[in-house]
Amino acid sequence: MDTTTLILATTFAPFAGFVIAILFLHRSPQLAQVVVTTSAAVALGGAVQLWLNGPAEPLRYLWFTSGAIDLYFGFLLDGLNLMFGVAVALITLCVIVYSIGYMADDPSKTRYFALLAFFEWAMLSFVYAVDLLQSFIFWELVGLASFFLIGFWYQKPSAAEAARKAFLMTRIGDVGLLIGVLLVMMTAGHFDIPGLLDPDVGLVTRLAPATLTAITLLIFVGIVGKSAQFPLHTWLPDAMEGPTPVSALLHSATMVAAGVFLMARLYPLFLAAETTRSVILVVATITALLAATMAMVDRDIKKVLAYSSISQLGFMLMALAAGSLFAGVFHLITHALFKALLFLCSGLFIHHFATNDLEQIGRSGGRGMRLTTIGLLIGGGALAGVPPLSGFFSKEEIFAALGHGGGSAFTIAAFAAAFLTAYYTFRMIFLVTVPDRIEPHTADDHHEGSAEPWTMALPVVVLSLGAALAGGWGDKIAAALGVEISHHSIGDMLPAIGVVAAGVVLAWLDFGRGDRAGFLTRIPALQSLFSNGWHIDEIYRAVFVRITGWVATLLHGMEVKGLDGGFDRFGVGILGAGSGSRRVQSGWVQFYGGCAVVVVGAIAFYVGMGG
Amino acid sequence: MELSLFAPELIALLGGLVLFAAPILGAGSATTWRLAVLAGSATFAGAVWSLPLSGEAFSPGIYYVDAFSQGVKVVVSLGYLLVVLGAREPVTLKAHAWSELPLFVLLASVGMMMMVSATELLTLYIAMELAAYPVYIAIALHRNPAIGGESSTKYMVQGMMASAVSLYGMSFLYGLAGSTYFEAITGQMGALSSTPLFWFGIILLLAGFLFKLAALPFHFWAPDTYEVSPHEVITFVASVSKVAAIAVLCRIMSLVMPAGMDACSVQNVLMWFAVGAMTLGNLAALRQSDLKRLLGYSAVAHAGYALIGVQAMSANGLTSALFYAVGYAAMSLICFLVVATVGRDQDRVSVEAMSGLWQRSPSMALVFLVGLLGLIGLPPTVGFIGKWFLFSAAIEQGQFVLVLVAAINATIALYYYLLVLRQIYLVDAPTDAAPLRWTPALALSAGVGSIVVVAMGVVPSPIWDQAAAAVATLLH
Amino acid sequence: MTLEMYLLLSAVLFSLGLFAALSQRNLIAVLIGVELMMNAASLNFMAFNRFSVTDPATGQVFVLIIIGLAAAEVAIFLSIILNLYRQRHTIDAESITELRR
Repeated sequence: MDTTTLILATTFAPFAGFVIAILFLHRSPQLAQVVVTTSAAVALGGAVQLWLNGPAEPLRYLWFTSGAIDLYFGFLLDGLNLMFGVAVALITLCVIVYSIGYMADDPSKTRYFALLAFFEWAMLSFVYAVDLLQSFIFWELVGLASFFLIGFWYQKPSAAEAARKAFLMTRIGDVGLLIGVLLVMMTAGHFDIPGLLDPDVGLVTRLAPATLTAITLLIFVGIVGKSAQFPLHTWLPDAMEGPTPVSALLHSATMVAAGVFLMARLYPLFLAAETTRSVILVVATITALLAATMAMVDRDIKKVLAYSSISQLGFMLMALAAGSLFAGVFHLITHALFKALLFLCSGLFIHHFATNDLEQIGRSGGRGMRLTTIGLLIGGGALAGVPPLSGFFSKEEIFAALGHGGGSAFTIAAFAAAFLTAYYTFRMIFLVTVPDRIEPHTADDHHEGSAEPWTMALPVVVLSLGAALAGGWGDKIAAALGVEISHHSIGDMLPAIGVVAAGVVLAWLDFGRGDRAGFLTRIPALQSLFSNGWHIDEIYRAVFVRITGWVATLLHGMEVKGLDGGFDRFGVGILGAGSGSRRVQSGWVQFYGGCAVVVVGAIAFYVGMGG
Repeated sequence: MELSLFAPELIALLGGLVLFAAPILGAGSATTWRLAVLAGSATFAGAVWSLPLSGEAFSPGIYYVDAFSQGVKVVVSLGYLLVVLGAREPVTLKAHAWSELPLFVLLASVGMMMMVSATELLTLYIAMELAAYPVYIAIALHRNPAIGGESSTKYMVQGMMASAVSLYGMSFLYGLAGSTYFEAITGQMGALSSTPLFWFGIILLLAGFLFKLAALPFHFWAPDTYEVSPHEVITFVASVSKVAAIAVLCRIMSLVMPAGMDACSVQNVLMWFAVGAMTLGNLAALRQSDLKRLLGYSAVAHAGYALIGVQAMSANGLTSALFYAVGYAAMSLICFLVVATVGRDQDRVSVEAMSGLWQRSPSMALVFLVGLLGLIGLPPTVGFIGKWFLFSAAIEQGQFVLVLVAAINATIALYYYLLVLRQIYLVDAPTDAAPLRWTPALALSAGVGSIVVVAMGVVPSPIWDQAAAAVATLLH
Repeated sequence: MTLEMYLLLSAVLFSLGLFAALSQRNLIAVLIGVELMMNAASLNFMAFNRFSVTDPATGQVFVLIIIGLAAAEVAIFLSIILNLYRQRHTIDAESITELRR
């Protein structure tokens, strides 16, 4: 098959699945499952074949012309896109298969699978986009899919609230991205990504450094929103209200990684903007540390993983900001695999024990689920950076990048974050697998049916293999990105190994013997600070939400009280002044009209006087 | 005089005569409705047929027929047709007065069609009033006479004031230019543009059209009138009249654009109106519990967005404003068609009334979803691409701050649209809620509207090219 | 009298009309105020027609048509007020605030 057919099949198979499921299969959810799974399989097949075929010429179809600007819809097929496309398609297929088991009893399965297919279409179209505006459009659409999927269990008010919060906060970032894209239009006159990145005629050579800094900073604002970086990170933990497979797919492996991917996609621009990279480095470091501390104390297994996602996304951005495209993308890929795996494992626990609480899972006999526990160990090991699992290698690259790219303070911060990562990951593992010393195994396994049906077990196996082995793919990824990498000696790796070992040992001392209290419980101030997420959400509520609320209430009050209160008295005041002692009555109708006329008159007068 | 150039208006006027005579001759409401649909179709056909025509229908300089005017006429007549299709039977109108509704709405449409062709102050004034009077009456036809009288009075007092201000402005333009012809005004632009009184007149002239658009500072009527007007009438006011208002604003802008830098003051004023309308509309909408009132404030906000294109004072700016107005008319139309159906037993429609619309009628919920996505400005609807055009037109003029304000506003707006969306999809319908049924005509109307909203978002080029050609003829 | 005098007079008339339209609670008086605003515009047209415009007819034609349209406007407004009066037995502008909560 030629490239055009392949890419169209890859991106539009999920779209077809979505359309068929949502329009025709409302009464037959089983069929909807089959259709969507098939479409995802087709997409994966296409993505893999494209990857095997290797980089190809971009495809462009003229969408329309507005003014002097041609807008294209098309596909960019270089190493980065092809690689991430495969990762997205693979994880989506795994999650869809897993969902067949996970959502088996849900009455609105059709809606669920249709939305997953919609998401896959939007995400793949974003990944392969050749035109920056096209990227932006699909960037918005994945946000829309996320909104509907977080709010999927709308019966829970918290889910509906979380969906809204996620959508709103990411859209705040999108304001920056939109203006950045508009600036690109104004300065470059086109949106063609290869053209924008071209070393000879691209933005880097054409723009003044200040403009380039402005553009990249604005795009970074969008990335902050989408990839849940500080200070817009608070939507992601709440987004865990969605079904767990959705958290695995959207809110850890793919959608939130879209921000990092966009930075990698436009990397030459960022590379040339020194100031922007310093800003990113600072923001990403703060995020990586902050989120790691929050993960240390939460008892909700999904929230721990969510904080960990935020922290790891910070790691990736640190690597990119420090100047290593390879380290960032490498960690992007490995993180997608092991984090999806961890979420699917947590989903198995949640599905079986009907609780999100780490200690409750441990008490109910979490380690009784053999396969899941093995998956948790592999995924957790990779997240913590235990050699020779994948996370170790990608993190090692990040340390190396920071070592020669960033300042030493950032290197220390990265090691600190890695230490915390190892600590909270193994805290999670120990809480789930080691029996409680005081209260061992209260609940017996009274649940009906298999704990690990094959639909849910198979994706775990696949992703476990990926999470374990992806560390060896560094050369392939480097080749796809077209960068040279140097191999590190064991000596270089020692600090990283040491830090991880220290984290694991501390976790063992705290939790490894059945205790349920870590060292943080002895420092209540920190414990409370961390578990309240550094009070950031409360600050937002206090500041932004309240201000908006005030303004809205003020306007509302003005218009409601207009009939018998403020507005009229205001009007009476103005008019009364002109009429001596006689009390002038003013109906609100006239007041409205009068306001308008007076405003226009005053402005016209001002303009007329040549002001 | 070339009658064929006046064809769409003439057909509509004849249709108006027929609709006027039919109830007198004893036609029932079903017959009247068929006649109204027939008149609408004929007008639409006439407008489409006359699309390629150009020339002057009456004595020179009074009434231009060109790509601009004819394009807008197609939209207006299509809008009329869709509104009438959706109003098969009395919803919130007096049953015995229902057969008069199509007549008044048709006459208002004629006024709007004439407004966009008028190139002379007197013609413009007459057309403006012709577009306004029938709506005043139609609003008063509410089935609850107290509500009808009150909302109509409110609307009319403000409308009369706005048109008196416009008229006062016209008198100065006439005095300074010595002529009521736009051509003459453009011809003397060199001398006029340095006269402060001329700009005084222009800004006063804008008042009448800002009123129709519900833009700042003439927005006060929108929430009140939207809330309590008969559903059928407000569907028309919220959609078709916006296109006509924006079209006339474009015409006036094209009149003063040759003044170049001297027109800056008007540009500034409109920019502040745009900022004010967006901000005020969106913030005030945050706390509304009445859906029609909420949509009224949203209309204020969208008037602000459209003004971004008008104030850019460039070909791209006017084109994007026109494009957005057409798209907005379609979004607003489908939203109100659904609101009218859901709230047929209520005079007011609260946001709660939309609860579980998804269960009561999935297709109606889908139509409303399309409309809301458009209003939010998400792809793949015209709301996204239309805002994109507006923003890029403003960016071309270097107005970053304006675009920033608009983009922030679009985010604020998301909040209350999501509240409505949640009500539709995420709240269960009351158990006693009757299922909603489409009539074929309503389905057709809402279907066409939804297709326009999505198609203009996915394939914007046909309408965009048409709008660009229209604006090009406007600017010569 | 000079043109300026007429323009000043019409400005005063416009302001008075606006003031009436804003301050009167009787809707008929509001209507009269709006009519005054329109008459101010008519006066402008006539004054310009007399002093500064070469074409002798345009302004007068404009004014005649304004008078005609104003009559139509009055008819519509009065019929709506009448309708309101039948329901409420008042045409006080302040009383029509029932719709707001």
